Amino acid sequence: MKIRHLSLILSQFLYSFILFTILTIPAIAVGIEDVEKDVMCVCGCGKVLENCDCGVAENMRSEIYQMIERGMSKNEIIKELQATYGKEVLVNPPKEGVFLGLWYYPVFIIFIGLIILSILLKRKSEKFYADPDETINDDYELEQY
Amino acid sequence: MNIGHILLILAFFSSIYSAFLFFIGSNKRNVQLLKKAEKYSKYTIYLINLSSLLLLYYFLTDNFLIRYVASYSSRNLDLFYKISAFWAGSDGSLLLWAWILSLYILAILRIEKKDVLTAFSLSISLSVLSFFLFLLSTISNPFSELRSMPTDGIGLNPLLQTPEMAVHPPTLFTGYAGAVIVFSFAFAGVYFANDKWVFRARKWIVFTWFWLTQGIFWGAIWAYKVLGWGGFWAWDPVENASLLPWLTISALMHSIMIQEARRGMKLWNILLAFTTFEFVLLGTYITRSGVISSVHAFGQSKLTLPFSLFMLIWLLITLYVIVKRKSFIRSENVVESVLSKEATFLFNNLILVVMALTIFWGTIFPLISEGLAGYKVTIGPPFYNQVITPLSIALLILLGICVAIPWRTANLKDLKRFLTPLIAAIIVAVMSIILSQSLILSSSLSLFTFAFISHLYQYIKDLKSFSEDERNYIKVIIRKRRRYGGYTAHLGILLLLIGITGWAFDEKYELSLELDKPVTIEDYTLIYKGLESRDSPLKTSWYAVIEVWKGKKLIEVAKPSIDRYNSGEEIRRPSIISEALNDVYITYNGGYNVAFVDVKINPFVNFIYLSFIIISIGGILALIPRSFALKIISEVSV
Repeated sequence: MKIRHLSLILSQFLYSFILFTILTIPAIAVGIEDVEKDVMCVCGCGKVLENCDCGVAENMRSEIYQMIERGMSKNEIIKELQATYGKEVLVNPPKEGVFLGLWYYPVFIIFIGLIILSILLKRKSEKFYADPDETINDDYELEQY
Repeated sequence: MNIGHILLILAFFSSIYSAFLFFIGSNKRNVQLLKKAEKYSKYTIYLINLSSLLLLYYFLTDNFLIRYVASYSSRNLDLFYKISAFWAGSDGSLLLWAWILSLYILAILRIEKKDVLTAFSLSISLSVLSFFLFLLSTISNPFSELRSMPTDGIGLNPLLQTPEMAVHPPTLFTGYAGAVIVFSFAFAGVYFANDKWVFRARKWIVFTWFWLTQGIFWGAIWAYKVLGWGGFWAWDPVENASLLPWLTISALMHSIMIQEARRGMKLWNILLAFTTFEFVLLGTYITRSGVISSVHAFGQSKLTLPFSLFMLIWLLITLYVIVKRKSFIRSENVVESVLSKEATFLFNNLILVVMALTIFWGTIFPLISEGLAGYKVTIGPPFYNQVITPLSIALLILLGICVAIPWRTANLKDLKRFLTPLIAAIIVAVMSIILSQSLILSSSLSLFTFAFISHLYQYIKDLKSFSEDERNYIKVIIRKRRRYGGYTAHLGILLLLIGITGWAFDEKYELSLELDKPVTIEDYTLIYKGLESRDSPLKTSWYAVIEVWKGKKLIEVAKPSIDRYNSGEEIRRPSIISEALNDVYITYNGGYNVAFVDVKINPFVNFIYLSFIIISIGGILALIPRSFALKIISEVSV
């Protein structure tokens, strides 16, 4: 019983930590840095805008500045940029259509993994052959050819 | 035809023949065939060594008749970079790959026991080597000649003219080639239904992991010091390609211990070894084919078909052998209790493999989108961060737990070990929230403290308890080097995670610095003192001379530069001032009387460098050979 209690307390502590971290991420007002990390530089360098200092990137930044000054939200600015430069300007594809597969795939594999893990954890065995700390010092001879 | 090309063709036929002899010889257990196979494998190794040294000689003697030398070297290139130009392009990289793999094969011939497991694994390694030799003899011949010798070569890409990029490919390829050896042993073990492959392969697993770690770090340090955007990692396809095998081999390194202890996870381990092998092929292909748009993939090539076919063939062969040996692969159950080291290793494997599959998905998704939607989407950092960040938090927690939980099952006394780390974590959480007012930072620091104290506590506790029998700490550490190597590498990973967390708190400033007018940002005052220029045979450099003061102390004169190469390329080289807790990262963007600079204050960068050193020490500790360890133990005992 005591082990169960302790492990319960431990898991509660860890859950609280994760929940605490997720729930306390503050909402931030739109800044240039919020937008430039979500769009690509369109000069063809393949860099995210925030990491590119070329002339094209500077022009894109001034466009974004103007949109922020007009009071546009982050989503509106990104939509506007998408309308101007095409879907390729997005750092990540939208969460719609064929692109849903990208976003839901990790959730799917985590789910499958957890199912397999729960099955493995339910199958108990007391057989223990060797301590891996010690097998490293043992010599395992195989037949010579 | 160049002599180097002839050597490669001979090496190809010799490797095919020796792979065939090893295959037949190990199946028939025919000593004569196996000895002949050894002889031919040695011929293959000599031929590859000769051809590699010949290419190196061509680079050192500026033999621009060789197309590859003319494409990646020039007369005024430094000697050091003439050597590193060997692996600057696709053909040379493939030759380096083959060269390193041939040295692995030589090492196996020298140090491994001569039995059927070794012989069969050599037939696998040699068949992989044959594939690379086939490419080098046909579509990727580094010895193809021009019709006439040009007066000078095109030269090496300026971005590659750094010590970090000279080191990165050889270290990474040493890891890549090691993955072939690991897979070869795993495949041989399943083929002969012999569990002992795990004991044979484990040193190669750690060795491969060690070199993959080196390769990844040197690549990341290069990105930070050279690319000028102030980050170590951008989730670029080429960066991802190096991380994928590292993740799966890290998982294998843990799950193989379950197979040793419990005779379980057999299918899982062969699949992990196979996946790591496929990932290194994919990594080589992505880097050298330019199939996915990347700042690193220099140039396009005809590698798609051979690499795809080769990967597919190995997938089919592996699946076939797994099906044929399904009765052997049927594993025993692996856990006695949910509260056991085995269970934490299962969670660790889940996290690492989910990370690997997610990154793999993100890396190849542009190709899928091109097929489905008609255009190549970009998968940038937000996708990876969204998935990898929570998984890293889970890994951080698991790191703290797994170290303190024993094999088989934990009792109440074992669980009490968590009290000290938990109390320390709560204290750090409260203190850091008061001092920093940042919930993300305080959560990260407290989780780090939990895992760190847990490791430290366990390190000392284990050492004390084991030394009750051994009475000597060195002897204990050497004897249990696998455990302490692991603990040490974990400590490095913890520091790395803290270093990465620091990037969430970096600050970027765009400044216009007028001559002799101080500008203050955070704790630093910058004074622009003027522009210096310097000419060299390769380039002209303009340095913005900037004094960086902290309070009343001049800490450094920074000289970020713009380098214009004779080839017309322009590179902005940052100046980095490294302090104990943060870096001042300055990039010069132009201007004469007024210097336009970007300044980034990057916290915790030294944690990343320190983590690299500690992880490497952990790897080296775990790699101490058994004979050497036993010698030390016996000497200490005397």
